[in-house]
Amino acid sequence: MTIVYSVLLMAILGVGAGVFLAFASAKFAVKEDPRVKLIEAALPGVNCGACGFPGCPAFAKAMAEGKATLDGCLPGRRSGVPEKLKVIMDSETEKLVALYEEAGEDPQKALAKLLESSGKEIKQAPQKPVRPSQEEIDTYKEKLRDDKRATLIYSVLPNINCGICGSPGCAAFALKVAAKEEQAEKCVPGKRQSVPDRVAKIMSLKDEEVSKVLEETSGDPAEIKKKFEV
Amino acid sequence: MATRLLFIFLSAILINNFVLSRFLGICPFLGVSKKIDTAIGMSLAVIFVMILASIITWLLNILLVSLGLSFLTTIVFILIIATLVQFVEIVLKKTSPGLYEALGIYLPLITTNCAVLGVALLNVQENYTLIETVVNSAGAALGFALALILFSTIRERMELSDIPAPFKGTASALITAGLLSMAFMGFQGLVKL
Repeated sequence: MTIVYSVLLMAILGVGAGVFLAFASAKFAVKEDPRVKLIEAALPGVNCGACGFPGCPAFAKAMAEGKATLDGCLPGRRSGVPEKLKVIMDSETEKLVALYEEAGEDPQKALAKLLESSGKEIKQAPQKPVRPSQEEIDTYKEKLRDDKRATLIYSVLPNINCGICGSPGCAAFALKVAAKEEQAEKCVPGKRQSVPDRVAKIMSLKDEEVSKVLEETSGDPAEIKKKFEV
Repeated sequence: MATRLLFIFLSAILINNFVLSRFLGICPFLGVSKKIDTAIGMSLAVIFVMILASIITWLLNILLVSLGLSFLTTIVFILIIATLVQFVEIVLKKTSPGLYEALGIYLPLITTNCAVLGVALLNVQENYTLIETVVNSAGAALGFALALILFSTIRERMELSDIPAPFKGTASALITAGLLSMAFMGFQGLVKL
């Protein structure tokens, strides 16, 4: 009899506690602000760090707390990220929560709906940048050895391999620029670091001048950067 | 009656201090005592849960005794305390996000705090009435808070003092805890129940 009683009691208590907790968590459910997730969905997601925050999630959090500016995401400027962020930040929290639930808690879907409902024309990114793999980056770095001019250009690039320029890594981009197949302006994170002006200076050098600069600086990127100070 | 309650209260705080005399709840005592802020947060959470848990377990014990299932007390109490802590966490998150943030991880940690289970079991063993139970658990919880906060202030000072390398960190903390415990032994004989 004792066995039956104890099993019964434990079963009742266990089930009771479970039901009670399930009920309580439904009753006291807290709706969390989906703003951060929506902002993250609007960002390019390459974690390039050009905004000054450690990665896109950190930027999204700072944005939601009002610690970042709308145009803080440098790679996103061309693809309409500031406009998207403005729509998100201008919307009321209740509206975002409702949208987020409607979209089945899928940030991408909720963002698409939000942008649609805002009725604003938003530039689309030509192509979502693809971050190159380490192997790709390394292959192009090898090729740099044979191209002195490209080596100089590589030294003045940000070297974050964000892939926004469309080339697989900074070394590949430098090779293309040296071969006049690509424009230095395509390096979006580099615009603030006056990469286009520096590259223009390098491109105006003659071949023997290129070798001379490399010899003088013994290939040290910091020294090369100093040489082409703007 | 009143003097008996006072004796129980004082005895729970000083003489039978849960951490320093009974050596229960040592894990948070060592783990959460590096900073006074976290120590206070943990203490508040423990005070809250300990009093609530002992009231509910006391009521439940009547049922257990009447069914002749006293041998189930430990396991039933564990279940009740775990449920209660979860419930408190859910409610706090909704009603008082500030306090929820402040207590942080310490709230769920109490589920596995043996001091909470210990006080519930001791109340039953001593055959306390409901009022005595509340007073005893309040005393035990305050005693836990006292020990934790005292210890954290000492540890904060030790961070700044010049300690030989082998004794840095946990080593000196354990020695301090021992000394603190010995100091509390001085309260023995203060109250005779």
